[in-house]
Amino acid sequence: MKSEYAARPSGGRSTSTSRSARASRRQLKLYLFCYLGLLPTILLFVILRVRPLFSTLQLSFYNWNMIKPIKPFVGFDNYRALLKDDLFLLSLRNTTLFAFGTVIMTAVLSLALASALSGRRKMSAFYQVVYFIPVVTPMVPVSIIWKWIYDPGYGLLNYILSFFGIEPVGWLTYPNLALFSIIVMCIWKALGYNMVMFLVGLKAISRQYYEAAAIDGASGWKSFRYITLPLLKPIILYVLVTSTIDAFNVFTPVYVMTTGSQGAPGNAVRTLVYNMYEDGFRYFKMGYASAQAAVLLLIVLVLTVLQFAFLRHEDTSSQGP
Amino acid sequence: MLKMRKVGFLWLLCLMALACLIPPVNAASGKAIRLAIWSGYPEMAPFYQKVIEDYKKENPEVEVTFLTNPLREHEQKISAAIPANTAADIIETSTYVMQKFIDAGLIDPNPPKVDKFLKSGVYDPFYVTLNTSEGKTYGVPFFQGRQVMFWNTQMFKEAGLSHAPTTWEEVIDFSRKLAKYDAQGNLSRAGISLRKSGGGSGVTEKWWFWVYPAGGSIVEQVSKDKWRNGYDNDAGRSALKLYIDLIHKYKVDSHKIKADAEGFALQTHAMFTRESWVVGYMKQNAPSVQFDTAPLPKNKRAGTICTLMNFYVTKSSKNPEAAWDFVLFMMRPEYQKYLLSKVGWFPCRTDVDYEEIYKQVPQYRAFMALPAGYQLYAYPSLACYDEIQTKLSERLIQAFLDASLVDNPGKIARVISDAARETDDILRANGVYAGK
Repeated sequence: MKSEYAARPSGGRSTSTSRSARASRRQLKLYLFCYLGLLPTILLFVILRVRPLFSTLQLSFYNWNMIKPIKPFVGFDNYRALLKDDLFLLSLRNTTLFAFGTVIMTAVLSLALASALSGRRKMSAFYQVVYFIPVVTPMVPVSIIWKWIYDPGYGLLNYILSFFGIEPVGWLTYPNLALFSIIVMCIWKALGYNMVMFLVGLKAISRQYYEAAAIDGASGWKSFRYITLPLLKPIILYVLVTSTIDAFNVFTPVYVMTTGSQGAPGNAVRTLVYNMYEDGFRYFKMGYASAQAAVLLLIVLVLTVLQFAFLRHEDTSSQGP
Repeated sequence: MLKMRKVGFLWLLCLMALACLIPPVNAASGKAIRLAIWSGYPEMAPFYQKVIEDYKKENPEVEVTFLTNPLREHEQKISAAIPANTAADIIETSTYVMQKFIDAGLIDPNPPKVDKFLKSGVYDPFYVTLNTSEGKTYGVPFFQGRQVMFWNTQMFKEAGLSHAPTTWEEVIDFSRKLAKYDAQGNLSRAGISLRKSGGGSGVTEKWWFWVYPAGGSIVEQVSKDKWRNGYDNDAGRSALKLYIDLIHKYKVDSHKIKADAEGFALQTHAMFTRESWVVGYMKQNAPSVQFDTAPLPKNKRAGTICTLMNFYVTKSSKNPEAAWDFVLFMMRPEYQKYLLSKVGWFPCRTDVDYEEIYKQVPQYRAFMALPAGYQLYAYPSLACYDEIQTKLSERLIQAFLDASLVDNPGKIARVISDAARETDDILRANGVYAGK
């Protein structure tokens, strides 16, 4: 910008100044118009998103019981209590296990599926639709259906396993299996979305790279390892980080699958949001639940920062000199 | 021209924003009185439809609407709405759920007319006592949840048994006679179905029905506002031992067998404990299954829980008088009978003659005809009781899976005392712990 101004002829300075003043007035009006147009949306965003966020942070410093009239300020006591709370630490551990289990498996499987489908012409669209159907199905009916699939006596899974001589398994009632069972369901649910993301990435890779690699004698695994994977890196990062954020916020399947006499034991599948919900809405400890929400926010924030850092690095490095 | 368009567009945006802020004009706000009821039992819908229809005939100016949610969601909804003063006019819920709101002054005591009705002899004095706090009555008892033993008469007959178990010894003996196994030795039909898993507080509640006859409880009141655990004793240990023996020693119940009312309807087990709604459930879902009901088996003492579901008029109501009038309308004897015959929940009014319904559905009789010496007990008025039950449930679920507890009294004692410590810690954190 500086060099543009310097290149202008010095004789036309006054004309140029008045022209630029008019231009900046016009630009100001345009900005004003744009911001006024955006104002209702920004207001709604502030009221519905930003304000509750700050209210939650504020609540986390109070002993805020929903039904008690006195709500004293307790500073960092709620945070200190979290460090000694076995259920919170268990839910943090379960959530991390859940996040790693679902994210890694979903990424690997959806990349494999996308790779298999990207080269096919026949039936590719059909398979894409089939894998995408679980994504558009709401989580509550999906969880109820899977609860039936996992039913120890009448479930489809045990029925299929019985053909191989495997005895019925209490998929949801055995604590060691309950979290694993929910992970499998969530992988099935998220597979289609990540597959579509990878398909878009794969289709954006020019065929010329593969042709050049083939001339040099590289094909199959080598071209996948040295061409596909590096060029898919931004998509892989996006999928990994957004899936991790989603996984840390898991609640609905845990809630649905723990209900009823043969639901999963709460502690075996206790995740951060489920723990937060119990403390807040069952035991009315809103201040304590808010402290957990703040910790979750911090985790998600760190992951988001990581996402930005990686993607920015990718953009910078791909621009070249 | 462009400028005018921009200005016009801005005006449009402002008008849209204003339209969002202005509340809708209530066309009928002139005379109609609107009342809303929230219920935690979706199966109550036919009852509400009927009473609302009938009430409308007598009071055309009153419009009543109802909303039912599953119990857990209902309790969460009222927990958020009552403190925020946005609850429905009338709420149907248990004494124990409402007690914390009563203690916090968020629910008003009954007006004199309702108080008089409560004390007029239409209810068992026990119910009136349960709904009395600091000398004032709160809410009107509507229906009650009492636990009984449901037993499949056909299966019992086949096993040569003529009655439901009356003692713990009979529970073990009958369960062993009723259980069936496949060729590999796996349990194919449970002799008894115990509540062994699932989130929330249900596991502890069902275990309580065995702790109580053994002489214990989940919490015991020491003084007016002071409590301590009531199961770190022989009662708690023997109730846990009974579960462990039935599941792992005698193998008459299993986590792999369909449990609860669903399992009873599918005949995957021979007996289990539940409330009166199961009678209606069986009539609708498994009319061919032959069953009966009986009082819970005794041990050192005998008794069953009595959970009252009441109607409360909230402070949010703009028409509390009309709301109470509608509540009293629902208490009329014909609607109490309608509730039992159509829905299956047991009405609270004890002055109404249900004999006609007993003749049609004899399974209801065990709910009301209590044997001599049989006691009724209720949920304690403790705000933290749900937390106690829910956290204890998780420990019990873990214990019920542990086969190493069989014939291991030391380990059973450790499980119980660890759990009891947590219960006492919750009481302490809430400032109501009595100490040892």
